[in-house]
Amino acid sequence: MIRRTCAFIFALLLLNSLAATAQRVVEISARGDSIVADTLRGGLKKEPRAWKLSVGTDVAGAILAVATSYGSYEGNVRLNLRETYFPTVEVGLGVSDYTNDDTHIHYKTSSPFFRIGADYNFIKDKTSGNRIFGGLRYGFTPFKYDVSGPALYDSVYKTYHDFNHKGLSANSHWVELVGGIEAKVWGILHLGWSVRYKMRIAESNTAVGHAWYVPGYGTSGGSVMTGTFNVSIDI
Amino acid sequence: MPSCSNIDCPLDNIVGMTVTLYSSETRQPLTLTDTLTVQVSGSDTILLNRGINLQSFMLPLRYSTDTDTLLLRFSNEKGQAARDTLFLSHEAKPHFENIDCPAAVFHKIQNIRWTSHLLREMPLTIDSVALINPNVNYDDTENLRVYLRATASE
Repeated sequence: MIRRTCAFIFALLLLNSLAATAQRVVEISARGDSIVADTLRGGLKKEPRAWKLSVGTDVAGAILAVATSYGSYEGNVRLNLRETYFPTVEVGLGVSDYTNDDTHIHYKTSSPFFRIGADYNFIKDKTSGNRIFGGLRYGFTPFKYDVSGPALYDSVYKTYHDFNHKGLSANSHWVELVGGIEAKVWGILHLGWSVRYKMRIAESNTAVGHAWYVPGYGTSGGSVMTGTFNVSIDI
Repeated sequence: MPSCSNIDCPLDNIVGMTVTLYSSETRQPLTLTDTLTVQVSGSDTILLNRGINLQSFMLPLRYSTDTDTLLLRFSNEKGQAARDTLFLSHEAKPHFENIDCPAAVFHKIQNIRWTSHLLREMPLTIDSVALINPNVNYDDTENLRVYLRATASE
């Protein structure tokens, strides 16, 4: 009888100990991150959420659209997979309304562009909210532009030839290598910058040749280096 | 954010049709020892004035029309002279390189016709003309090949 009682008490104590351990193992923090108990080491290790979304914009492009010969208004939606992979869609409007002081050629465009791609976060501490990333993009724009200038003078035959072309349609495809950093500034707000090396894949000609400014890509050329300053908010 | 960019205007920005001279007998390039003058038909505009020892030359095409009629006047030191006519149909195409570069007019040659004078007038005449490259632009590539004949054709 006494033996049975002792065995029973011992079993109760053992079960209670296991329950306490189980409770410590499964603890959910106020932030919603799951905390996995590391009972062997006696410590706790945080892991980032499986996924979350963020939206952002490129501030630099917008400032340059207002202040210089061309720029863009751009927004992006980014999926954050465990702070490691960031599939991204970027949509924007490239604008230019510029007259060159020397040649007096006027170039005007206001057309959309699209990019899709993904980034990889190289930083080891995935819970810090800071990122060092590299990635790829595929970009595409169907755009129209106007180009006009002084009439072309034929000095041999003493005649003038109009140079005024509106609504020229073209499209351009390119790929981008992206690298940059992003810091978690406060709460859900992130700031960062990126450098992009863009390589044109294909571009259609118009009646006057190639376009000068291609929305989302930049000025004409087989490749170009650009940058962005990004503001994003986790949602 | 825009990229760093540089002005990338072509250094050679002259647009002209490159004409090369060949012998119709040997089908080889020819150095013209006689004098050649090229004039615009219906005008006193001289495009090439008494060129000598020529193998090739460059001629401008008109911006405002799609046909150029050029008079090629051959003369030699014996005082013999004769004129052949070259009729060119082409399409003028405005060209925009870059906003920092002046616009230009390129051409696409579509058709060529010519006349040949009698050898007794001047013992060198146009036998035939071949269109090698129809695009007249900044590239100084051969556009027309003029075969000249000094002997009577069979």
